[in-house]
Amino acid sequence: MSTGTREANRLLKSYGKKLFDAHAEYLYTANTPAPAHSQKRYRKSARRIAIVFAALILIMALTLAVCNALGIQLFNFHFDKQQGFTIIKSMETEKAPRYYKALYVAKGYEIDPTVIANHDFVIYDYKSVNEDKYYTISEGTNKNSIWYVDSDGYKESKEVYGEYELYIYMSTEGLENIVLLEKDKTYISIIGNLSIEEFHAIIDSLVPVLDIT
Amino acid sequence: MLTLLVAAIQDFAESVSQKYKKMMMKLTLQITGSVEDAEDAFQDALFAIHQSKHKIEDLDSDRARNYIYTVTRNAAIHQRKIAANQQSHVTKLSDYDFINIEGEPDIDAFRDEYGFSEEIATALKSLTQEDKDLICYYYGAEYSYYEIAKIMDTDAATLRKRMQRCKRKLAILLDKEGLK
Repeated sequence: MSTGTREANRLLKSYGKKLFDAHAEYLYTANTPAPAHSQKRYRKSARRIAIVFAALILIMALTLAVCNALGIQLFNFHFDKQQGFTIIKSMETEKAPRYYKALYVAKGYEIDPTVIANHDFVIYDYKSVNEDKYYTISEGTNKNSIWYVDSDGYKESKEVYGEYELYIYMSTEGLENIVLLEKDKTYISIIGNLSIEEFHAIIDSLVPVLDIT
Repeated sequence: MLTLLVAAIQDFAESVSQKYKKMMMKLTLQITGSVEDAEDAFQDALFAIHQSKHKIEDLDSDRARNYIYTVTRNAAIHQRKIAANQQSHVTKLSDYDFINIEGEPDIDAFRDEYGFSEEIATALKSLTQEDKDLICYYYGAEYSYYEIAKIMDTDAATLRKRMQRCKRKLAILLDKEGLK
């Protein structure tokens, strides 16, 4: 057996273990189902939901009119909430015209010079200077965008901040928080262990970029 | 009797779904890029996993998770290819579409850790999905060729030959590097 063959055996063995561990680890992060009491609560609430549904339509129509009048950019995405996760689908009919870049960098962080970009998305990574912490700003311009949010262990809320409607997922387990918004049809998600004030500062500093490189 | 059988099928699928639906859906969604296709791939994967349920001893074991991941990823890739073929005038799939799948190890990070060359990394990246599955099942999960043949719906001799080809290709590269 040549040295190359012996080394190939060793390499494939390590690679096989790596593949196996990565696959198992991926599914290991799956969560257990929601407790039964919450399902019961959903059933009890079903009738009430049906009753208020008509009222909601009316409120939404009014909200749209008010938001248009105030110039608030609504988060025009459909939320498909499933057990433990949410699929967010764009309701836009046109591709967004541009990307944005945050001029504000959260205290103690610096931007990773490698920007991940494709024809319809861009990802900016920020790394803490002293610790092994990160936050990420992802943007999508595709009108058919679909985004996945692992919403288990998060407290969801909605907030109107300045001209934006924000969807906020604050971790109840001290993990990364998530803020979603839309700026002129561009979907923006900011994910990191940041305070709401820092999210606001980032949002305030978003400026259009023509060349993402 | 039929009711009992249906109930048993539902029970197993339900258990897999309850434990892993979230991550399975995340994976299928990432690969297919469409909620409908992701749902279809998830259902296909669930059905395939059910058909092979005798191979899963413990749903909480790493072997089971690896198997469920592999079946789900392959169902999603299959679904994505079907969707691309249906609208071939619009969508073209490139290798790039399948190199950043969540849950797959980063070969460059593995290269840094192991210390092999760029050429070897390229060779590993160019392995087909079937080759990788074989390597994963054989070396990672430590199944025999006979067991893998049942999982991958082929025969053990074919798998052995495929593994030999992979090894030979890598050995040639490694021998060359040894001469440098």
